Amino acid sequence: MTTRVESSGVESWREAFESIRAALPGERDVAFEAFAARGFPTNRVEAWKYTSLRPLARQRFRPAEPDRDAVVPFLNAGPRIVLVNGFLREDLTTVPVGRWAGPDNRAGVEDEALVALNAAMAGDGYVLTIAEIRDEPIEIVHATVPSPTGPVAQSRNRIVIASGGTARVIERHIALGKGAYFVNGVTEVEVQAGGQLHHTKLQEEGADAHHLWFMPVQLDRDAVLESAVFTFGARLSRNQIEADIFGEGATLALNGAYAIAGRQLADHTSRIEHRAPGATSRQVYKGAIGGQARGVFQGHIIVAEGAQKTDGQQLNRALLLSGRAEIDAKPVLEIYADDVQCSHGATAGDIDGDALFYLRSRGIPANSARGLLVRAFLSEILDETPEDALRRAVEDRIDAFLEVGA
Amino acid sequence: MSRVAAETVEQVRSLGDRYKYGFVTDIESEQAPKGLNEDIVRFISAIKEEPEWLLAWRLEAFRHWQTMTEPDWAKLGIPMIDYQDAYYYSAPKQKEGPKSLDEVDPELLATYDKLGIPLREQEMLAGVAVDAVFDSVSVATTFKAKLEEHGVIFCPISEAVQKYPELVRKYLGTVVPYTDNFFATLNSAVFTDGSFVFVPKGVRCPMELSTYFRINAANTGQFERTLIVAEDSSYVSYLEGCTAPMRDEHQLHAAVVELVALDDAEIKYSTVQNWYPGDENGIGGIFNFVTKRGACIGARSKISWTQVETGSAITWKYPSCMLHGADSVGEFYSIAITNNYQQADTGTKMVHMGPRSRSRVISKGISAGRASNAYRGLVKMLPGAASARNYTQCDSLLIGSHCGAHTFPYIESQNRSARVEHEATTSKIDEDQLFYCRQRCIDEEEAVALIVNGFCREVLQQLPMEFAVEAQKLVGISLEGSVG
Amino acid sequence: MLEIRDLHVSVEGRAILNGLDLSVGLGEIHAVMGPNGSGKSTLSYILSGREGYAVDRGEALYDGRDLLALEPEERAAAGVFLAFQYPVEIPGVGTMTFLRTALNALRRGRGEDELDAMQFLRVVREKARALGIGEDMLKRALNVGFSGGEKKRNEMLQLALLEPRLAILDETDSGLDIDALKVVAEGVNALRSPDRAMLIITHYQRLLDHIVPDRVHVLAKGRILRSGGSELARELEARGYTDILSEAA
Repeated sequence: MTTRVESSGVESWREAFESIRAALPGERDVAFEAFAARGFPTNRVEAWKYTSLRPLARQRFRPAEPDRDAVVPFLNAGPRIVLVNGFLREDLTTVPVGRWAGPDNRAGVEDEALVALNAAMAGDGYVLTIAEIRDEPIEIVHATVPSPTGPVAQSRNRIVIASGGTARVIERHIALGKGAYFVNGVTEVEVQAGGQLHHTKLQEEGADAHHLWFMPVQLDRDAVLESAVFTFGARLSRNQIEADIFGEGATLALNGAYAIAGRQLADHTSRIEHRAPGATSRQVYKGAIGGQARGVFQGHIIVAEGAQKTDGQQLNRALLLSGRAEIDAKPVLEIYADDVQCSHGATAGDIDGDALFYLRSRGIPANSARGLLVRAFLSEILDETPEDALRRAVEDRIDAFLEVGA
Repeated sequence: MSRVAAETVEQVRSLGDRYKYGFVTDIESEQAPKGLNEDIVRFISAIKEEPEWLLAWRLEAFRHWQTMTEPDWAKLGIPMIDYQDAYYYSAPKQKEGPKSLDEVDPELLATYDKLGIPLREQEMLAGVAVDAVFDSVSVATTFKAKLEEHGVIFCPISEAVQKYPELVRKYLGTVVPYTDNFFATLNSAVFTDGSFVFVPKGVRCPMELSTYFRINAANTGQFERTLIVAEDSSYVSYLEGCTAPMRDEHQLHAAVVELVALDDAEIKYSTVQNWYPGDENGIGGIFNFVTKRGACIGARSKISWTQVETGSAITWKYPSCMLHGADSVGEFYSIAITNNYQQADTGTKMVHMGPRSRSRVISKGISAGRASNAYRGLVKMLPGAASARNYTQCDSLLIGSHCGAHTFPYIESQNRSARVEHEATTSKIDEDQLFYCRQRCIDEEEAVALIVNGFCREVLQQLPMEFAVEAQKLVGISLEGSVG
Repeated sequence: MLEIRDLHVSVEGRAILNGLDLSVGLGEIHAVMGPNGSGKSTLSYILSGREGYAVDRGEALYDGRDLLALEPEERAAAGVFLAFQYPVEIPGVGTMTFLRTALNALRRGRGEDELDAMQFLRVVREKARALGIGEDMLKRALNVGFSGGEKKRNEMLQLALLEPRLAILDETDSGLDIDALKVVAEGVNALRSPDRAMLIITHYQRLLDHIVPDRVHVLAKGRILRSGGSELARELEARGYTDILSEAA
């Protein structure tokens, strides 16, 4: 299927690209043309069936500029990496990191128009390499300062866990002020043989933000990646993970919880390709959807020929909390090996009426009872998180959601 | 029931070739010239002496079809089809249309005997009326008189166009409009025959109705169209079976089935699809591109699809239910077996519009050899579907390490009080189950047939008794050569 | 009739049986006892032909034939029956369907006529009644949702129905309460015959209170460490396996 290119959108982006092209390191034109050829995906593209970026194509954005002064709030007092408007703030960063130096034309990644756009325009990004065992979590803050010009922040980051390394990482996405902006970021994750990464993402972008984040993952032999995403912010967001399990015996857990209301759209898309035998993948995504919000879940498990003894499980559950809330789910299994155990499950519906009645019959008012049940529903994902500060931050967001959304 | 597994294996052994319906009937036939253009559409309409409105409808469809391209979203590798290199009309030569079964060409009767479908009423399965469609035309319909006593109309659709034009015109294309999709549009332009069923208000159809589709002529596409209308509080159970000769070239079968259920009506539609699947190297076989859809128009109406898909080189079909009526019910029970180089992309759409509408989807896919088997389904809860329910269970079984089994469900809910539940699993035949059977003296092939039949049981149970046993045998035969 | 000589078996490169010798004559009942992990289940699986077990050395002759060369169903046809420690659940396959398919396959193998539905029903009802198995259980899918006791009784029903020449009972007593144990024991005793040998594999002696064996063997570390009469079972119950293991060491 061919994408209809919104030419007007592409042209304004070309203008923006030209304006910063000279200052960017590395070869960028190939990436930009890859984006221009595709344009913003609309729902005619199968992978974007439920999330059209047509509105984005019509809007004008200007490349965000570094902000040296913005004050950034932190969750923890521990080690951290800070980016503002997509640029690393060395003065606030306490962990030794490398810098991204332009596209290295990694094959395949540029298939996605937005990733190509990022490759063309990203001006900065961290490269975090861990070869030792680190217990203390590293807090990575992606902050954006909104402005009337509609800034677009595009950073390209990379986390490498070398053999024998273990790390905990918390990525936070926040707005410093009110207003519209667009975040189009990439975090590449590579876990080498036997390495372990525990990754949590807390997305608290501003109410008028667009947030698109792409996370390509590569897992080598016996590597472990546990990732949980908590989505609360942004008018439109898409968290897209593409995991390539090429090492035998690797373990991948992708979890997600989201609570959205108003006219928010939250899209969680994952694609896990088991290319090596004996690996395990687990996914649990849960969403509470209020107002006129829409949740999208697309989960795709591929088991390549020869990837025997694969164990791949996926679960998606959505609570519709209002009469105009909507969920669209597409959990796909694509299996080319016979000795596998794969499954997916999906449910959609309101809060369980029996449970609600039970609580009310014990004297709990309807509103509190609903809140209790929604919190319980989402907390399964939170239970996996050992960080107290993070847990409190997520609970606060759920409480705030229950006040307005549910 | 308990005999089946042993019988299956015997049958497999006794068959020189796995596909026992692969013979060709040597009969003189009348064909329209090869190719497809407006003249062919007019020819088909003229030979059937159709009214002007139907010809106009066909031509609109044909013109629309010329603007369309083949769908490419299914997980199928479809070779280029040359739509000009086929006959769109082929009928066995008969002096006049047979007035009764006694006038049907003995060669045709013999063909159906050989297929296990005797058309002489006294020899038939009691309680099953048959419409036999041979290439492009219906050659015989049994028990018409008995059905007429109850007010049930069961006849070739071309006959219905003549005898009941107002009924056909009222419902034709209302469930599957001629613009629907590439293959349905093609069918609308060139459909040649098929069955028409009308069950009047309050009537419970006294017997199973059945259509048996046979493709015989070479290079001929079969484009039948079936329309079933069940008026208020009526009930009908309908079954179709299909076979074709073994040929090295592919043949196209693009049917359309429309079901309409009014208040409190129930239609049960079962299919045992055993078109020629091609040989073990993937040569030949039928392309089965079928649009089947039922509209539960009335309150408390029910449409239930059951399909056993074992044949065809490529299967592309999604029997669906449009659940308009309050408290209406849609069901889809499916077994799809692919072996060797067969490909299937099949599933259902359950579109819930009426409050408290319910749907249930049970799909069992079995893939062996180098085959590809995909379930594709949509469950959609529209804002009006208050307190609607869906339950979907898709299980896939893989036999051998070179086949594929895929699941593509789409779940869309716009109603908070609607509940959707979907589960899917993929696995291979359990080694322990296989060993347990073998320890009890059941050889591997028979054990596989037994276990697969168990895996499919929930769907097999939905078939009318008369056909369940046949379908069970087919399950075993279809998997022949897939183990060891 | 069964002659096992110097049998060495490994699973995924790990040696489980290390030179096992065992001789069972027609009409005899032998008990093989041993602690957990001694190779008891491996012995039952290697004799019945389950995949995943490698014979590194030695042989097992059954009526003079090389038993280990046969496919599982060929062994079954030759009269080898294994009552599973964990009978397998097969969803959707009716118990009656399964029993009839198995019995007729066996009869075909023996050159006998298959039983028709009525004949089969008569035979199975009679045998089921003797084991206290109700119609209801026979109507359910094979072992699906059966309690532990029901599964074991179903194994005994198959034993009675298939009338093997060599019956191997693998931990048939595990998970049975005392009443069920008696039913099973009575079933087995009723099948004692000069034309049939039985190999009872068990951890505990309690089943042997009800089925008195001709010979008792102690299997540990992959070999038969001691053999004796039925009194050996009681000695084991009183003293445990430790003594024998240390004697052997």
